[in-house]
Amino acid sequence: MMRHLLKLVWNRRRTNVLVVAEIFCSFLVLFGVVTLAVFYLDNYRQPLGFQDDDVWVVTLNAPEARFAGPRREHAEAARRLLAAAREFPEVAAAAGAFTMPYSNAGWNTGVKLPAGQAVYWVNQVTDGYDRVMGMAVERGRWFSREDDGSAWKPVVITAGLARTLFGDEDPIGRSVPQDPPPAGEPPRQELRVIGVIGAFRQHGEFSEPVGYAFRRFDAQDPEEGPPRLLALRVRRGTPAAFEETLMRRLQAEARDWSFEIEPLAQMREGFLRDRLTPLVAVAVVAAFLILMVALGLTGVVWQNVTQRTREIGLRRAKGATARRIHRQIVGELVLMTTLALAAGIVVVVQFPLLDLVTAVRPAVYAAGLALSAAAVYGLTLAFGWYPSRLATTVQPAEALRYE
Amino acid sequence: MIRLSDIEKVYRTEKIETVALANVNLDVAAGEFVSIMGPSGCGKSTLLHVMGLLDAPTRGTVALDGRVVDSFDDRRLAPLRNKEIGFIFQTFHLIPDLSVVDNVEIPLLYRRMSNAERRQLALTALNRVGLASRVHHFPGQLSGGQQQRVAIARAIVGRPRLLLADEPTGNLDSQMGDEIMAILRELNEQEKTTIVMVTHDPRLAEETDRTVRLFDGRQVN
Amino acid sequence: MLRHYVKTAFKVFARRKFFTFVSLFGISFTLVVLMVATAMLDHTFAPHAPEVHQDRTVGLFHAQMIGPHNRWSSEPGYRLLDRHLRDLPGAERTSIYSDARTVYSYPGGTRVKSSLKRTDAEFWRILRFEFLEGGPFGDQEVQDARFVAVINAATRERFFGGESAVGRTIEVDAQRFRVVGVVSDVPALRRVPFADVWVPLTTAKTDAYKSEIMGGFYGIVLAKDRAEIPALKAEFRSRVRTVELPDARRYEKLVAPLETPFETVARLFLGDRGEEEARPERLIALLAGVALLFMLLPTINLVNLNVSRIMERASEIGVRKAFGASSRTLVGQFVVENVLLTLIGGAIGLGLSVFVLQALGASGVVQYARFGLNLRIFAWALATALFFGVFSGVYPAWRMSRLHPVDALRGASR
Repeated sequence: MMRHLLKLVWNRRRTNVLVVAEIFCSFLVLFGVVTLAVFYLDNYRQPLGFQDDDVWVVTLNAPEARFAGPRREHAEAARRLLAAAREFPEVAAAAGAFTMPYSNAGWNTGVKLPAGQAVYWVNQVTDGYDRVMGMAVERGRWFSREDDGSAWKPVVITAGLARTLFGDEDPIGRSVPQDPPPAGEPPRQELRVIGVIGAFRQHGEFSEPVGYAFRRFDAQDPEEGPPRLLALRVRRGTPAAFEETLMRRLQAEARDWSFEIEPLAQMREGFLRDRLTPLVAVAVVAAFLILMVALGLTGVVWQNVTQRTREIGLRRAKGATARRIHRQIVGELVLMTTLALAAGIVVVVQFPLLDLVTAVRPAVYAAGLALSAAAVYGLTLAFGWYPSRLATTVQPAEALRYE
Repeated sequence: MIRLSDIEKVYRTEKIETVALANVNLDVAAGEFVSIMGPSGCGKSTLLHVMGLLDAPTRGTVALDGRVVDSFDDRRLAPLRNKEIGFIFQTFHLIPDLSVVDNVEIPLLYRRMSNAERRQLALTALNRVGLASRVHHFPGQLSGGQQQRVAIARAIVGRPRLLLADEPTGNLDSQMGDEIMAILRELNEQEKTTIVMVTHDPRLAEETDRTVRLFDGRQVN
Repeated sequence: MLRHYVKTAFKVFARRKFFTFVSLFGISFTLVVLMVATAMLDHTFAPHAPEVHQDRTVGLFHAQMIGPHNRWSSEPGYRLLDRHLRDLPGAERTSIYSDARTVYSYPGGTRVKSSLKRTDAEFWRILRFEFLEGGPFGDQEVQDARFVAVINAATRERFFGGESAVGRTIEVDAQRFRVVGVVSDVPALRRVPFADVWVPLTTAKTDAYKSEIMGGFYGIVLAKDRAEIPALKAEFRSRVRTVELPDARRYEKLVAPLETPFETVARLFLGDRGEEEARPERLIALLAGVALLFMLLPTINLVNLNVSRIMERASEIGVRKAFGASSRTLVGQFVVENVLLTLIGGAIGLGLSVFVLQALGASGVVQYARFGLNLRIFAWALATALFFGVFSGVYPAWRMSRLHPVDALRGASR
């Protein structure tokens, strides 16, 4: 039977190669979309590492002075603004930060390890940041006054980054490996791990979990500039009108600065919308493509079956052979799908093999592959079986009249 | 008009070779009405296709008006089929999607002329076969005899000098068959059109100038 | 001849409704995607009011300082623009304006979020805004740092409920401005003109910005003539080489070419960031490549559908060949049929695109977007449909025309 099928497919190769090409392309499209969906779902299930409700973010826009600017004065002004915000009874906790979740500003750094380049994201925050964000320290402790004046810079890192940097050893008290500074630059200051948190996903619930490290804003360091933002945890039920009060108070504290106030939940909405909209658009287009292919294959199979049933009918065969044709055509379709999938899988496995996509875990990749392969089989069978069934019910005599 | 010399036609599939024609020699003079007879499967239709330049012989030479066309490619054969030859088939082969007059116009489509001129010639041809009243019908709305008359109109609209008819009455009852035969004879006599007709009806063959008999792809005299 | 083909084609379409539907579905869907993408590009980059002189306008939209270990890229700074962009040979006008910044106001206790741009008076002469009431601020107002503002219609609605706004006061970013003009909304994707509120440059809270080479500002130059642009660019490039960089220890080179917005996007998108030369044709080629790749699957689909139906037309092909159609003529006929089908699909696609674009505009995904179809997009759509029709029609047509006439005739009769 297999040999027979192979021969049939081979004899009609000029037509079949196009059908195989179509299934092949559809598989690639499906694979892309399904893998992306699996990737996002997998990410969504991982812990976020913070609580975004009741958090407000105040962006501090100091007068434009990026190089020659008075960093010291600005840092001082930012401290006054933070203190002013903390005075309000509505504000449960407040801290300064370089960046926030759902913000596009990011700072990443890399280090060469024996196992290869490790890249992780960095944020710089003041002491109360863990309380504002509702973060849980798993081991060690968060920043506090006792870090003032230490010879090294304290850092808090995620458990994942700890594993990357130190393997299974206890990271507390270890110093973070750093690349040597470029020629002519002063040596880097030691970074010492004082705490480990579960996770911190700055880019939200759909992003892949990445290593993350927090550094501390040190009030004693004259080189230190101001934080870019203030993060406030407001008491539950604080009315939106408080925003205006807060704005006027901050404005009074620093007349020539500008401020933007945005609830973190709103930033989240905008951020996720910006990220998901193009993906949804791509998914919709892909869905239409697949529907189009499904309809197209239906047409091709239907046409093939009608034609062959007619040929058989013309040779005065009996109805039983119609079912055989039906089975045969579905068999051919399965064979062609298998060929297309084999080619598709050969292409698709190049990505992880050549390390072209590093963000996607192999397990996610494999799941995407399995699901999309199953979907392609399902689609071709469903859209091949029905029309061939339909066509075999056409009586040979009727088929004859069909011009 | 057309001369076939030493024609051989062999169909090859993976396993078997079928000899459809072997050693056929035929010379049809201008104005002649020739019939080809033989049992079914003897190669009559193949011979007609070779004469109509639709099928190239495996061996041998076909000359139209003294011009040997063996080496002609599709682009040079097409105008010959268009201008010199008209076909009539047993199953009519009208295009069901087109009206009667559109069907008749087909040979003229492949010539340079205006739409009006084309329409005029088609109507004249239809008039000729007595179907002036069915111009805008579709083939499905006509009887078999009428369909074949449309097919004849299509074959003669371009005024070819050679008409090839493949069992033109085979799918018709005898009365309709006679009508068709009458039209063919009239064409032969009045217009001096050369006609080669395949048939297995001896009664019809008798009405022609000359009968060529085929058996198993060979000429029998 | 063509009329005959069209007649035959329509009959075939009508006879096999399922196949016609599937083909039209694929074609119109493909063209909708391409047309919507084209409309969005057109919306973002093509010359639309207020950028009416786009063909002879270039700007400085991105600056980059490069050192051996460091790169600093951002908007250009005011000092760079003020010192070097002015008085270029061949320039008719030069405008400097700030990046649009989000600012907050609380009229009547509700929060209003606006984009604020600080501009000079030339801004209003290079860009032709449509004023609904009042007019722009002029050189005197900018020089005297008067607190006057031009707002857009949406802002007028938010602050004044749509009533006349000229002469009234708004408070944004903790500053109070008197409204002097109201313009119709400009889409947020038009980066050069876009804002909700425009105020004079000089009303900035401090004049710290005046000393910055990097950050926060843009400049545009209106050339006297298109032909002046290359010379203008060259002059600016040589001026940029003389700029003294801050922090010379880290940065050695400043890259700040005069470009169109599309060129800036092309240069930054294609990655080689230190490059001075924009290669917009590369981005266009990339976009065309993506479009072709996208069309691949619909094409194969249509080809497969057509190939599967060759035998259906066998009798017709046989007859036509018997009566003198050459293979080439038949290819022509079937390609015409396919093109006709794609044109119908294109027309349906055009209708659907209008619908999709309206839905997109109404969804508010892009602020103040007015995605629409114009003659330019229609021409593109037509070209795409024709290309697609020929592209997907040639192979099946060739296969059809190659059908041996005898087989074709026999296939239908036996």
